[in-house]
Amino acid sequence: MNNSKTRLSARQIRTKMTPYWFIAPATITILCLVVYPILYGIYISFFDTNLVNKWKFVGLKYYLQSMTDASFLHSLGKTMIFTVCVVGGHFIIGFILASILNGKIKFRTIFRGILILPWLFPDVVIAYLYKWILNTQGGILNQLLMEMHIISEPVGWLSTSATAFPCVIMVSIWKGFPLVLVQILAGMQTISADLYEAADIDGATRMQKFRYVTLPSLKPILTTILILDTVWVFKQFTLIWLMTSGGPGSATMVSAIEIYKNAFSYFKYGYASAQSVYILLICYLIGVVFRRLLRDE
Amino acid sequence: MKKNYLAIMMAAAMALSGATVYAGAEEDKGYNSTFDVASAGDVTLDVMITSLGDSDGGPFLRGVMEKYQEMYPNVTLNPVECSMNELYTTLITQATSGTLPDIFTMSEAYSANCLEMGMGIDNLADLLGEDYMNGLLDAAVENSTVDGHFVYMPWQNNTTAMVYRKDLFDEKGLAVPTTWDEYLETAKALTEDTDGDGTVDRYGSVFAGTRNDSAESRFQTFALTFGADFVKVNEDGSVASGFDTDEYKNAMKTFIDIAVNEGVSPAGFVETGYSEAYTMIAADQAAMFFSGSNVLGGIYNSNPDMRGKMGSFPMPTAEGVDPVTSFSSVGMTISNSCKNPEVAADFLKYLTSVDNSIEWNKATCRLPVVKEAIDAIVAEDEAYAGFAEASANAVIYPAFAGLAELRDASGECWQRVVSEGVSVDDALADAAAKAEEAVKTYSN
Repeated sequence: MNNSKTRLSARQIRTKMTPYWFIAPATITILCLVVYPILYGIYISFFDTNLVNKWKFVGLKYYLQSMTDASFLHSLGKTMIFTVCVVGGHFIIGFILASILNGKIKFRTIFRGILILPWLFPDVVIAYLYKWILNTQGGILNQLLMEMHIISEPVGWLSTSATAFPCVIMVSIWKGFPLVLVQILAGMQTISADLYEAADIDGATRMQKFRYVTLPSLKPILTTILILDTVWVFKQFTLIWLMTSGGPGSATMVSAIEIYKNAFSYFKYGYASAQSVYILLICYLIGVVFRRLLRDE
Repeated sequence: MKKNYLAIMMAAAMALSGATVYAGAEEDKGYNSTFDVASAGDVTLDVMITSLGDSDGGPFLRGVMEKYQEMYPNVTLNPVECSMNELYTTLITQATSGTLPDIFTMSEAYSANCLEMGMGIDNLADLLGEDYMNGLLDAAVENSTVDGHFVYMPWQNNTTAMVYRKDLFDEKGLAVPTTWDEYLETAKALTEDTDGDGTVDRYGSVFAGTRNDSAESRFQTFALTFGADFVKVNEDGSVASGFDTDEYKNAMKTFIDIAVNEGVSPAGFVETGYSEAYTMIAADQAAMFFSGSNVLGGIYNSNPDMRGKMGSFPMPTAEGVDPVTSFSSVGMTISNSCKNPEVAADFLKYLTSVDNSIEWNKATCRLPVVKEAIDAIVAEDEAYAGFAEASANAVIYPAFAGLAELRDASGECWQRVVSEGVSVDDALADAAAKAEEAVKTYSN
């Protein structure tokens, strides 16, 4: 009797454990590759350390220091502006092109293929491509504008504060819009034609159909892309680093570059980690705020 | 700049300790070998030298490694590639995970950190031996030494001098400038519209103005020629920033004037990095640029026709400042986890033998730190004469962990003036405040 109870109990346990075995590989992977690095990064932020044999506990010093560090605050401001402009650009261009491609136009497949190209290129290729195009000496843009007599002498697109930041924003928009385009286009193609027909019967205008049919139908997709795109753009590093390294001056110094410099140029690992924790919190908050704002009724 | 006599003391100490000499090896192998490698049993060494990935230095290095393995079949050398830009992050990762290669690249920029983290062996100078050490430039030994510890074996000699178009100087009858005022006049004479289309197409001078360590460390040398130190070491050993001195301010103003305001440099100063600058020289768009000797390699690779047209001269200085330039070096060290440090040291000595140093120069245009090799190179190619002359007045910077941050403050200063229209005085005041804060942080 007792043996039977034990066997039953063991079987029950095995049955209950089964789902955990299925999720174990993913859980372990996430723990090792996501949770542990984040926790270790947070741990480092409390130390003045060289990561090998110097571990001086400094408590919250670096967190407080970051809040009064003009360079870090400046970089946060730049990052906010950069994020708003780039994500806005992605959505505006993505929506316009998706709407066009969703219609019955000739060579639609070819256009789709061409428009997705910027997203397929690695950041490094795009950065160097535009660095050459925008180069003051011999850049093709300056050559073209001079030949067309629009400018009389070369413009330092990436060497002047007034133009460097907008240039970096435009390149980032160009690089990232195809992802938004593809997602919106996919979403548009799932909207039932019946809804538009019903709207036509009700006498809805083109704008009203967009406002009351297209947008609500795309809301779940838009929420996801908006959160992902915002966080990705907020962390943007490669394009800006390769195009301007944060310069000229600090015109394009976003927080990812500021943190990288602190960690790998100045070897202030603890300080850079504290700044990274702030960025982590900001990215998390962005997700929470967007989900709340765009929650389905 | 401080001059210490560490090299002499080190040599004396080694003489007293009596380093083991592997008799007869030098004659047989063509280098100063002091260890019986052939009897060391099977040895495998991971060699992470940043030049392994270079198009010019890489094949040479692999060739040297193959020859060494042919000489000693019991030794296996595994090349590990790592770019210079990735070196320090790679080393940190390897040090934290206990996977440092047996031999790895090291420079003075990171030598203090290397020592602090205990990455290298303690007795590198002993392993290299007195004879070998005596053959190196004194400045190189001093540069590789931190707090009395010989941290890495110097290899590449980065004495800074001015490279110039010697053929144009001869053609126009220009004399080599010794002051920055003369330099400006010379640059004006060289700036011209060569094809008569109304646009200047060759500039007398080009300076690197990007905000990275390459351009910023160049400016540190430039400032030195005005008598300005980025870091001042006080008598009590404390460190202070030199950004608030008149010498530093004059250096910054002159630097910006020559690079932007005088019409002797190409447009796009803050976009012009090392490679852009030497490409302009190679393309006959600029005539003078200050750098290490390896710039000649870049110029020749970009335009082989420039061979025989280039020359070099020591850095000009401000009025009243004695000739001076900076010396820095990149070299190799042996990891503290290396199981066969004697063999590793022997390989390094083979790599930097006189013959190999000369071949290395032919492949990369880099000058070595082995005195005998430098003499042979200069005797063969006049283009290096200015570097050799400049090295007589080369000084090294004090080992200060916050140097990268001070350099970056300088880079930000000139970039703000040029690209944001901030006045030089305001930008200088901000840079001085930033430098003072940085010095305070690193001094704590």
